[in-house]
Amino acid sequence: MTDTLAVRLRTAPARPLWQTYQWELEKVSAQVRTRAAAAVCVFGPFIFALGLKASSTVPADTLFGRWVDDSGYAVPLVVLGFAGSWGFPLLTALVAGDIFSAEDHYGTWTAILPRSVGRRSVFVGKVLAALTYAVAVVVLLAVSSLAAGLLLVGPQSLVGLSGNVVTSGQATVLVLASWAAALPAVLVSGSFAVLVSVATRNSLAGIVLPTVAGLALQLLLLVGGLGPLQSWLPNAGFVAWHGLWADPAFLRPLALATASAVGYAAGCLLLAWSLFHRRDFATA
Amino acid sequence: MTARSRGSAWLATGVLLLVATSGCSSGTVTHQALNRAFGQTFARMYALQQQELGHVLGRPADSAATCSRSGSAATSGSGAWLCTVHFPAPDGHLDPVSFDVDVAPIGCYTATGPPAVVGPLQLRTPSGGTVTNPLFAFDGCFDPT
Repeated sequence: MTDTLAVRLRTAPARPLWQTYQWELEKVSAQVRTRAAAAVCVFGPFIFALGLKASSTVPADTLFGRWVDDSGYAVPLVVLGFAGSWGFPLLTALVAGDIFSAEDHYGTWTAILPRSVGRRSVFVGKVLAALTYAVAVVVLLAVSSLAAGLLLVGPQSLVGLSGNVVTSGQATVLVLASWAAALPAVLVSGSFAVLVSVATRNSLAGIVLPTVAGLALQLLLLVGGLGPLQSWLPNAGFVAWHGLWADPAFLRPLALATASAVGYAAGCLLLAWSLFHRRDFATA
Repeated sequence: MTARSRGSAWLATGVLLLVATSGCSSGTVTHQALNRAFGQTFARMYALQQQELGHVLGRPADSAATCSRSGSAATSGSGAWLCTVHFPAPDGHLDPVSFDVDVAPIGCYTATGPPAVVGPLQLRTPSGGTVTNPLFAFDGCFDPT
């Protein structure tokens, strides 16, 4: 794979960024772990919903868990609750935590970097490919869990988070909006994993560190005691969608979480770039 | 401007924005916010329960609630709370009933009512089906910022 990449890199591409992005996407989608993650995202929610149907109890300790037998719209929200607490950091780090360090592992930087595309294009192409994968994970899980809920439970109206009854049509829109609301926090997870991958040059660290950090942040979010800083945690976006399900809806936590997520992601990527563009790969 | 100084400028702008906007959020669970959120949610859940039981709703439940910390004099913070509402008894008069309310720092709570008053976990509908009793235990969220 890297041989063909090196050969193709010798012919100077007209749009180097687009080219590196496409090559990186090809590399990511050829990996077994990417396909395994995609399979989990597509089939996981169906297995989960079947398990709920077979079980006599409901996951009442998760928001909307009480309603999984009464409305199919509760299923994607319970899945979103679980994914936000530990699934997203692991799923995004699987690719983002490996995308730079894999080249260290295989010793392929010297084949890629001296070519005509330039270091900036390589960096941006890799980051974009990792984040594209992260977005794809969210989209797959959202669509699959909504489909699982609707097919296995049904499109009944759902009780929201202030006793409000949300009708079927509104609920579809709100479910998709809730998943979209988690996207900025997912991109923070991905950017942090990229930073760890660049900094440690080790894929195991790139996958394990962001996952552990995600779990630690989740504990911080749930235990509290941070006062106003609570809504500025990098993972606040994983719970900020709650406001969409109240009547009247409250969107302030969502706005704060999204604004801070942009800052965290930009900070991680800038730091990663400053490490990457000054690194001496020839002697490494 | 070099790439590095441009990066620093972006970072500085981000930090400034963060500081400027964080000043206006209080970030605590207060009894006012919980009274309002819990009272409203309870009244709606009560109406839902009556509708599922096939009862004609005589008078809507009062949405006023009084919440206090369990075993503490504090008037704010996450943890165990007790919220008292006026529960419409079958004979028409209002009974004060207390719910145990566990509030998380993110502004979501789980309320559990006394089963003798709110009924069992599963309700029988007039048509013979079973539904989840909305008042047995319910979740709600309010804005903690």
